[in-house]
Amino acid sequence: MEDIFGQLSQQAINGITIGGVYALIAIGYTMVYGVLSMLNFAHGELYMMGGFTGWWVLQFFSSKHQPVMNAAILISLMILAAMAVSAILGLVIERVAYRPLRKAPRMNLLLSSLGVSIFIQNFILYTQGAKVKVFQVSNLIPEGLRTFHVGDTVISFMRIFVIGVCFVLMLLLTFVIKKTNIGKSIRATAQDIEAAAFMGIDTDRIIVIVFLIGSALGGAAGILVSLLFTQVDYYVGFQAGLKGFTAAVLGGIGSIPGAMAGGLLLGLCEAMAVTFFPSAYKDVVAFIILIAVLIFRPQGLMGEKIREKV
Amino acid sequence: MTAFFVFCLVLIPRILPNAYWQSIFSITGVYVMLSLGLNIVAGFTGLLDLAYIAFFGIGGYTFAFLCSNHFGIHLPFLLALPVCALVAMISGFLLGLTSIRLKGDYLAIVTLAFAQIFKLLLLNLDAPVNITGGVNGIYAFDTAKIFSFKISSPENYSTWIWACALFVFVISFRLKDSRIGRGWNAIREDELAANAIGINVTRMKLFSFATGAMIAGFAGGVFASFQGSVFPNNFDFQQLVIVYCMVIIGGLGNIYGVVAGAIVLSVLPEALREYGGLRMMIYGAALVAIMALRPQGLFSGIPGFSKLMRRPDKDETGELRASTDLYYSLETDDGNRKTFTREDLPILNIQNLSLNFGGVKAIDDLDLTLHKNEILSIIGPNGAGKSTLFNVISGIYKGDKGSVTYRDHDISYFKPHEVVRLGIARTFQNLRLFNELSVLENVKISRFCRTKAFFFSILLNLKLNRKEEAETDKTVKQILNMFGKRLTGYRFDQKVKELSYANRRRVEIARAMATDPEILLLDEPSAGMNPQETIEMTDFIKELRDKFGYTILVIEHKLNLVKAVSDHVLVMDFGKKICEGSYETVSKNPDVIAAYLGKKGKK
Amino acid sequence: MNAETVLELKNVNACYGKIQVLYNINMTIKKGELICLLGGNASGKSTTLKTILGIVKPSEGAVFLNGENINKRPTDYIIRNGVSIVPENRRIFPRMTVLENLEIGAMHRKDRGQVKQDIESMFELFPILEKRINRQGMVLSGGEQQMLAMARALLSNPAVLLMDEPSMGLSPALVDQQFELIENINKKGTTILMVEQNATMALSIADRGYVLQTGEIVLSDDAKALLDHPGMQKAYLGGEL
Repeated sequence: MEDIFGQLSQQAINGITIGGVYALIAIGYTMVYGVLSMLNFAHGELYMMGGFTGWWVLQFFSSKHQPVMNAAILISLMILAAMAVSAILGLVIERVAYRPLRKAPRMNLLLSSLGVSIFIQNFILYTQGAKVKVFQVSNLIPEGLRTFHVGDTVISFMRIFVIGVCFVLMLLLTFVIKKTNIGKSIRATAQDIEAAAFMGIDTDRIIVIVFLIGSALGGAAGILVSLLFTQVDYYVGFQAGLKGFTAAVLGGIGSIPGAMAGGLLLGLCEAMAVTFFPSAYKDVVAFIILIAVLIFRPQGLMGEKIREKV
Repeated sequence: MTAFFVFCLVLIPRILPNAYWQSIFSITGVYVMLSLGLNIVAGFTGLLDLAYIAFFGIGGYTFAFLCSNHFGIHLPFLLALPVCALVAMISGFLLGLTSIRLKGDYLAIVTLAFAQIFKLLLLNLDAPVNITGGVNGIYAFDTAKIFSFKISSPENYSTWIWACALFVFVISFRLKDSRIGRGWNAIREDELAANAIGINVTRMKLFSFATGAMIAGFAGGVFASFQGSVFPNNFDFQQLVIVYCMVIIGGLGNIYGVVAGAIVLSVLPEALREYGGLRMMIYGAALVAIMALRPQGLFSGIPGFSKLMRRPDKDETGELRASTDLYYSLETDDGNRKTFTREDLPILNIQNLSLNFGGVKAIDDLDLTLHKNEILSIIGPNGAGKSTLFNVISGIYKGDKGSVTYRDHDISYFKPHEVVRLGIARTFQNLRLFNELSVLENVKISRFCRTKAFFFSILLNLKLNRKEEAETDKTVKQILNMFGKRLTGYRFDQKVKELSYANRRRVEIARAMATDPEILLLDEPSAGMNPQETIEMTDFIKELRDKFGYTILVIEHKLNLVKAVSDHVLVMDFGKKICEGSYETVSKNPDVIAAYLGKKGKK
Repeated sequence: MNAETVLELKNVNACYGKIQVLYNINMTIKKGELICLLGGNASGKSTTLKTILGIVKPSEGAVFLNGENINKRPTDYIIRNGVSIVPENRRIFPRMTVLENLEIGAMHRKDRGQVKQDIESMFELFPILEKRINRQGMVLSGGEQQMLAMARALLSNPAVLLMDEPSMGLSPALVDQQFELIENINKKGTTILMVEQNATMALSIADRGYVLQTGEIVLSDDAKALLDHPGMQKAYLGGEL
């Protein structure tokens, strides 16, 4: 009995870690959906690019597989670079693949984003190969700090770090959205894009900013997970994207607090599922949750039901 | 085209240089089948179905289960294939049942999740009991036999696969030019409008989804028997993207284009083998480029690939070709035709109807009675709730309180298509036509609810289908003919989006009439028309009743029209009825003057 | 009155796709005027507003704002340079508070210090808004939303204020109030172009009026003259009551 309890608390920590990451990914989906009502299939690839950028930075500052730099600075550099590269890529995608289709039917936009996703994924496959890239970071962290024991539960430093970064980023975003003029403009654009233009808001610029923020957070999620599991490959974006989207739908697509809550909830559900099913089935559990939410409560847990105007 | 297929299935396999090209040729046939099936779901109906490849896999694995030593079942080849199709169809139906009501991108994501679950199951269901064979898949199938004829040589396989492709091709064509295909097109163009002219949107989407799944399942069976094995990788997301690229390059909905797309994308990458690693990258970039530059597909507008529109033509004398290809013309006035007038028989009854929108009373305790062959006008300022009332009668909104009764039916809870079927048709104030379709197609879609031919009747072009198609054509042309040159002749084939505003209003009315309604609900039929056209419309509305016996409920702002046509006028403001009676009575009522024209200012 | 011209439409034609909807529209609005634009549904009133706002681009002719040709300018530029609109159905941001809605209206202004004071003066003009200051837009009543939309538009200090059907969906008592307010705002110096179907009411407070029919201006005159014009009711309503 105690054994189960110990396992559960261990899984709860795992769930919060991965849930925080899902939340970061979900925010990107939900923000883009808010302003463009489109599902950005390519978002998962930005996550993957975050991981790869981190790996490139690590390679750049390593010799003979050993980092040659202060660990704190190196990790910060990896995260910042990942966010920057993903953000720039997000902007390019918006400009090239989505803006020309602003007035086209929704299906075209979806297919275009699918095309972007395939392109980036295979570009990385072609240039970087299919082999998993391993992060040699385990000895970056001083011996005594690598793991903590709370009762029977073991928590690694990386987990705490990931949770910390996720929450700092989410708090920062909440502040920007709630308090700043940019944040207000984003909310206005998401609620009624034409009325926002009537307020003198350059909605094209807001869309660009939304892609910038969403993509940067996606990139951050990518590098955090890569650091946690010390690996990345060209295919991780697809699965992570789907999870992030599930989290966004769970919370109610379009709602930023919803995306945060949805991410955490999904992470916890998955972690708990691992306690009861073989771990190969945790994704099955996640997707069944997605299907169930869409069927029974398509507006999500925190979204509002909107009556369609005729 | 048929000649092309015969050429493909008999001749080509026998002139190809080696087994390698023969197998590519066979695979091409499988892709043709697959993309034609996807074209039905995504092209005809506009559903973004990302589980499509899973149905292909379900077909493949079903075949593997039924025709190998894996479970020791050895079903005859010709029996196994229909079972593959059936199992996939049932899976498609069940998935559709849960998710088909979801809006476009939600449907996409649910189907994607389904495809992922399917693949995870394929990979992991090899333990504790070996069902799918895991990553190793299932192999060593029975020899394919058609009766006692063994299809073992590559040539024969090619022929067999292309015969199957031809079969799917014929299905596609038959469906496209049928009531079902038109119904699907309508849903793709405008779901709400499709529903409002009598199409059961949910059921038709489900049918499309299941038909696609069936074809994918069938193709899966054929593919499995050809490859002699099945692996999870045969049915992964990349495969789905390839099939989507084929359909999109060919042009969604364009059957010839899709066949061409499938052939090009199967052969070209093989021809460019050195660049193998770039293949998927190019697919991705092509998707983006085509969506931005040629969303209709690469082959649109090329003769032979798309049905070219009949030209907006002039005949030899330089006159616009108008009603020349009409088979029926209606006697305009033969004197002894029956004329209709209002009868004292209430057919539509609304009682105590109320409807709130977020605290605003859109309709507030409204009563209304419409009599047989009556023209009743509803007037009132913008925002008075007039169009909302139409939306309630036609089943788009449900009232919060009160009832709507049509003859003996309480239709308060009827869905839009059920209301149309009973005999109430409507037009929309903001025009909801199927803009990408022609005038003739727009109106033909309305016959959906009055025809019955279904899958087999259409597929085999049985008597029922032939009779209904001929009737549809006749009725639709008759109705369009009532509008004279404005909607007939070359205009039959003009896309609706190219018509003038006034003509589009006319098409909407024609579309409502073609559902054989007893009651017509016309929402501002003369809005946007100039005075001359308004006079014409006034006469037309009168004729609709006097000559053809429709009962009409009309919302209108132009009071000279109202005055000329109405037996009875009802004035609404703030969702309430403020007055009703003859035009003369109503127009003298001070409340009406205040509500409608505004009170005199204080200056 | 020899005031300067704020907004001018010169020979404007406009199309939706292949269909022409505006024919040769000429219109001048001078500083301080209250102009009303009348016409039946689908007569081109909304399209005229959309053309001014840069949502529909003229196919021929030009729109001038303070003498500048704004044909190619995007909506947000036009708004920042002196046009403001109270849109049809108000378009309040539903999940923002009353205060946030107001702040958004003033966000593009350069004189930030003045904004707070202006918001206070809006509360004087519309006291009910101060009582609802922290409510979400979507819970306001129709009349409150209309006031919020007007206050929000005024806070951008417009050179010309466009109003699209300001009386639509308001109860009769509120309609009177509404027109009084519009008249007041105009008297305080705001130039107004108003689209309205309540013709008598609108003309009774306006200086001049234009009447549109199937995309053309069929009548234009002083408001008083239009009120008494025999063709007016016919052109506008298609008949007499």
